[in-house]
Amino acid sequence: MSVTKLQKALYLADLEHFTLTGTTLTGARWVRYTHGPMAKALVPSTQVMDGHEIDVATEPVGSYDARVYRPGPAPRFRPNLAAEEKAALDRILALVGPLSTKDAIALAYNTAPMRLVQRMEAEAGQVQLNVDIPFELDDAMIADVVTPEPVADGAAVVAFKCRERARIGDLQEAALARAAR
Amino acid sequence: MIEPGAVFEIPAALADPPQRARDPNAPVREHRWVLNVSTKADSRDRFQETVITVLLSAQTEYAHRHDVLVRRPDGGIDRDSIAQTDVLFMVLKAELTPDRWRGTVMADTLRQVRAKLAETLGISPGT
Repeated sequence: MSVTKLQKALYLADLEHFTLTGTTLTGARWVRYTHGPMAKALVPSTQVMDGHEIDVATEPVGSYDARVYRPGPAPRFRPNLAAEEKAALDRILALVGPLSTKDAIALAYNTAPMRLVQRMEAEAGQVQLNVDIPFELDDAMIADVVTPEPVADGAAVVAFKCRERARIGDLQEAALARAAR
Repeated sequence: MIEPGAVFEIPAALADPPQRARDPNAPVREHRWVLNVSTKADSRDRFQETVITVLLSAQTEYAHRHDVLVRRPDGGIDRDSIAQTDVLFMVLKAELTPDRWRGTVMADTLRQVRAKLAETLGISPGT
């Protein structure tokens, strides 16, 4: 796993656990960096663990060299995770593991905290590196910042929605008919 | 697998025939994908026969203010999709069989959908 993808996986795991329990897994401070969420504490932590809990190597990944993280040869400790922590981490690793770094970044950018950061950047007219990524958001704020930018014109959206609603009527009628049988 | 945020692929047999009768121009689809937004209690309660779902669509170009973007492969979807919180309906749990389960979205994604749903329904502060 490359460092960029590792950062995104950890961010998503932290956010998953925070959304479910109110606390993050790592306790790290997440900031917006060039490719999205980044925990600056990750770099020194990996240096301390290199050669023991993890093995860090620079390897060709696609057309460029990247720092790749693998399980290390001589771990001095094992993670002691609570059941819900392990469940959140496993869920995110299963989701992010098969993804390319680009897709992992896209997933991270689509989270509510990053959508808020992107909204602030749009209003400021520039990318704002090193700003904190806030996890504590109320529902009204989330609903506001996740609203997609319109692409199609209003008439096309109305026609699309008409088709979608008609189709829902069928789903309900069919389900009710089955239930009545 | 019926839990909050679970995504199911509903077969055409549930959706097709009456729809064609009403709208001859409707696109032909073999399946529709839905996302469960019901509570954990209602999802698990054996005496609660239905759950509330929102309809997903991969036609993200029609996204508007009621929709939430869900990125592939979150929830097991194979294309980026919109969760349409203004196309909300109940579905019998009996129809949501394990073979139709495609995955469960991240907690943050479900929270986005529920937050947008609260806004759509007017139960969000200031709406």
